[in-house]
Formats: sequence, C-alpha cells, structure tokens
Amino acid sequence: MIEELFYIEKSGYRDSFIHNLDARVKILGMFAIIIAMVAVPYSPMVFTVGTLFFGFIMALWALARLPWLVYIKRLVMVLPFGLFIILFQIFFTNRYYQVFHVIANLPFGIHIYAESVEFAFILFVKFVVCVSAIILLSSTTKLHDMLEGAGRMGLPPEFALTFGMMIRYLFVFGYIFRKINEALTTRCFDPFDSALSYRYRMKQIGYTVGTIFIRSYEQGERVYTSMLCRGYGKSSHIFVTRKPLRAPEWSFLGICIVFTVVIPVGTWLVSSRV
Amino acid sequence: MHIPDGFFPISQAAVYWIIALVFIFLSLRWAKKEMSEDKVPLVAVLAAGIFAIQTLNMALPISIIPGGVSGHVVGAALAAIVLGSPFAAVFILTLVLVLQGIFFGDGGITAMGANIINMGVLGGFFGFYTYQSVNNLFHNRFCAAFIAGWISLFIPAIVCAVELAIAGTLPLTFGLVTMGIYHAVIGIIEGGVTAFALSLIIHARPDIVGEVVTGGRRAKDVVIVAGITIALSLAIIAPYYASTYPDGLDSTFLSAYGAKDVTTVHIDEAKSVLAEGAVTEKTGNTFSWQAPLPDYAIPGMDKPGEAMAIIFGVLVLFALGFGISRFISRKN
Repeated sequence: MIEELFYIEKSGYRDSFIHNLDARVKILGMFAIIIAMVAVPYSPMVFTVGTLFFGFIMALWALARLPWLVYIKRLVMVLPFGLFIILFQIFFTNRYYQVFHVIANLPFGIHIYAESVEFAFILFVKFVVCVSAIILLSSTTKLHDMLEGAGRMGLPPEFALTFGMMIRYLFVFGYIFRKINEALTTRCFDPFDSALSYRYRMKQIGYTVGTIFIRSYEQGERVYTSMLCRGYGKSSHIFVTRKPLRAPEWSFLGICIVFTVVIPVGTWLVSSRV
Repeated sequence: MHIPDGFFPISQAAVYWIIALVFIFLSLRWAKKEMSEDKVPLVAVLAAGIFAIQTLNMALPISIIPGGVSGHVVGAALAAIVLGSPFAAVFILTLVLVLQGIFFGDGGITAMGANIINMGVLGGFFGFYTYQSVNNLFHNRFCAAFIAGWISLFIPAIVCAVELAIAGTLPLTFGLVTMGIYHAVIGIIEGGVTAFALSLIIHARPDIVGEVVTGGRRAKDVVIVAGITIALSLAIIAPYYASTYPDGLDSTFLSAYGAKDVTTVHIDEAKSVLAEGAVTEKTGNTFSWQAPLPDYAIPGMDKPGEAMAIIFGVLVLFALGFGISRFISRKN
C-alpha cells in the first residue's frame, strides 16, 4: 500500500480543472455523493441513482484528464473484502425482501435466489459508486491540500496538527520501508518462501516490524525535540491561511449538492408515481 | 476487515460514528494528559510508522490457496502494549484508518466509525488488557503478546460479522464462521509478529515500553483471562445453537395447548395467545416482567436500536466485570 501512496500522490500533482479546484469543494462534493448513495434504501432505486452518480463521477474523471487505467487499478485494489460479502449474498435470504424465488439448486442444499442476486447487485452498485468517489477525490487532490481544506472547514487544530505530522512522515517511512524491503530482498529473504520455516519467517517479519516501530518512535522523539526548539507548545497548531472560494468553485459545489439531492429525490418521486 | 461504504444503512453508520467519536475524544485527551508533556507529534509520527508496518505482508500459516492468501499486521495490540495504554491504539489506528479511508478507499467514509470501533477500540482494549493479565498471571511476555495479538484481531473480526448481521448484509452464522476462521488463522501472524516485535523493542529500547508492573497474581487478571476464554468459547459455540425457533420449554408449552405440533416448527399465533391467556387464568398469576431492552432491541428504534442494545449490554457487562474484580482485589 505504501508504494501506492507515491503513485496516488503523483496523480494529485497533475494539472486540470478538477485538480485546480479547492480541496474543500472536492471533499464536500464527494462526501455528499457518498452519503446520498449510502442513504438510498436497499431497493431497485439504487440502480438508477447509482448509475447516474457513477456517470457523474466518470465525467469528472474524464475532466481531470487522468488515465482510465489508474482508476481501474485503484478500484481492483480495494475490491476484495467488499466483493467477498457481495458474492456470497446470492446464496442467502435477507430481511429486505419478503418472498424469495429459487433460480438454481446446488448440491448440499444450497440455493441461489433471484432476489438475493438483485440485492448483491444493489450492494455492488453502492460499493463501487462510493469507492469511485474516493478514488476521484484522492487522485485529484494532494494530501496536504486535503488537510488544509479540512482545517478551513473546521477540523479541530489538534487533529489538523497530528494529521499534518503523520502525512509528512508517511513519505519518510515509505522510503524507509522501501530500503528495508530492498535489504531483505538482497539477502534473498522472501516472506512467502515456504522452504523457510514458518517460525523463522515470522521472526524476521516480527523483528522488521519492531525495527520500524523503534525507528518511527525515535523519529517522533527527534521531531518532538526539534519542534520544542522552535517554540512548540500545547497551543501550537498548523497555520492555515484564509482562502475564499472562487466563482467556478462555488458553482461546482452547487452543482454537486443539487445533483446529489435532486437525483435520489427525483428517482423516488418517479418510482412512487409508477 | 475494513468495512466499505454501502454495507450499513446510514442510521446504523451514524450510531457507530457517534460511539467512535467518544473514544477518539478520550484518546485525544489521553495523548494530551498521559504522555509526559504534550507529545502528540510523537504519536503522529508513530502512526506513520504503524502504517508502514501494515504493508508488510506474509503468507497464511495454513495456505488454502497455495501462496495466494496473505495477511498483514494491524498493530493495535503492539501500539497499546508498548505505549502502555489502549488509548494509544485508538489514537494511532484512528489516524491510520482515516488515511486509508479517505486516501486509499480502503474502508468507507460512513463505515469508518464502525472500523475505528472494531480495529482501534476493540483491538486496542482487548490487546492491552489481555497482554497485561496473561503477563501478570504467567510472567511470560512473549506468550502474553502472542495471545494479545491474536485476540486483538479475532474479536474485531467477530464483532465485524455481528455488525454486518445487524445491518442485514451478511447472515450471522455464515459471517461468524468465515470471518472467525479466517481471522483466527491470520491472528497467528498478528500474534507471532507482535510477540517478536515486542521482544526486540524490549531488548533495544526497554525505556519506551510502558509496562505496569503490579507483581504477583491479581484477581482482576484471573477474571479477565477467564472472561475472555468463556466469551470466546461462547462466541464460537453460540451461533450453532442460536435459533429463531421456540426453545424446548416454549415448544412443549405451545404444543400442550395445540398452538404447535411438537415435531414441526409452525406456530399458530392466535392459539398461542389463547394459551397464554388460559394459563394466566388457571394459575391466577398476572405478574409480568417488562424487560428494559426486549429481544435485544430498544423499543421505538429499528436496527440502530438493536446495535445500541447489544453495545449497551456489552458495556454493562464490562462495567460489572471490572467492578466485581476491583471489589475482590480490594478485599485481597
């Protein structure tokens, strides 16, 4: 995941309309889409709302002029756990439907239900839309901009400071991790090598974990001391300048909010009329 | 175990967020008060380190698909043990989970509250207290760290399965069995790595390991270890016995009044109400007990009520357990 960190941050440094938008606008817009998508009840309505949201996110992705492969790669990386739950849905009944129709009988008394397949798709749509919103947000916004944006929106200064410190040292530990990994590889150590005894492999990984822990602790101590020298105290916080939103940013935010409200409400009205 | 968005209805996600926020607030207070001076930056840098630690992958000890299934360390138990407080784990894991959720999309935004409760709060608290108790009882740090690491992964996995069952997105028994078995095996990596890492840290920097040395066997430790053992056994056994059908006594009673056939599961609701009326009339006993949280639910609230009822029950049990153990240890 740490390699991915460099990769994602790199895509955040590109230049496009979406990249240049203020972080606050993107955070609010994407969070609105996620919350709206999660708030839509488990019903076939999710398909319409989800497809429209997905189309909107993909349009923004195209506007950000990022390669489609980046999106697909990132999506594949976060799929496993969600996909595991989604795939197994088809074999079980759930409380969101009253009647279940068997569409396939498998050995050992396992059945596949039509309603459960539909429910699995509902979950899948919700999952993919929410993950896509996050992928768009993090691929078009630098980590530090996101932090500043959150600070401007009222994130408590204690959190802003700790997140700021964490983000700064993430990249330091990214390099440290890379070095340790290279050192292990040059010594022909592979944690997946079944020729080595399990205990030995675990011990090596354990010692590596211990080393990273001590290194990060000592780094933390040094940072703390150097911050003290520069006058750090209990009331210290990250300095975030005021930055009013520009007209295009206001309009983008407006479009996002209106879109996330109008689509679910409109779909609900149309479906209730039918 | 990072639950994504969309697997909880929004109301339940909000309940988990509120509980998580309480613990985040407490952990921030811990970082300000308990760490000598104001060492918040130190914990923040350590969080970056823990994030790096989480990227070290290792194959499962019992590989189901050869070379295909791997696991990594969460580090909640390690952080809590070394820094001497479960709040350390809550603080560090919150930072890591927020980053994973917002930047990587690993774990959802609305589901983040639940993820913080599972991995940070439960992982940290169970890891820390298990380590302390086992270490006090058997004076073996290595063994204590191994069990603590294992528990800090297994308990959150079980709770994760329960949360998804409450949300109606994963059947309880299936969730408990699959998540339980998978994380019980992965827990071996967590436990082993925690133990080796801790022994290295104790040798290299004994001054940073914040251990509470109590000396001797404490009643509280016996209670905690016994409690965890019993709870775990129940967690494994209960799903196989839990059933929505009436229990033996109910079934006999209902069949005696013709509301149900002994060998079938169908209940005639109208007849069962009549049967209850007939018994009340015969015995003259009109006493009834209105449980505060009937059927593990809070009246008037839907699913979030059930989640809160279970969490409330667990908290009450914990409070009772700690109260009793403190009372016993004071007498000693």
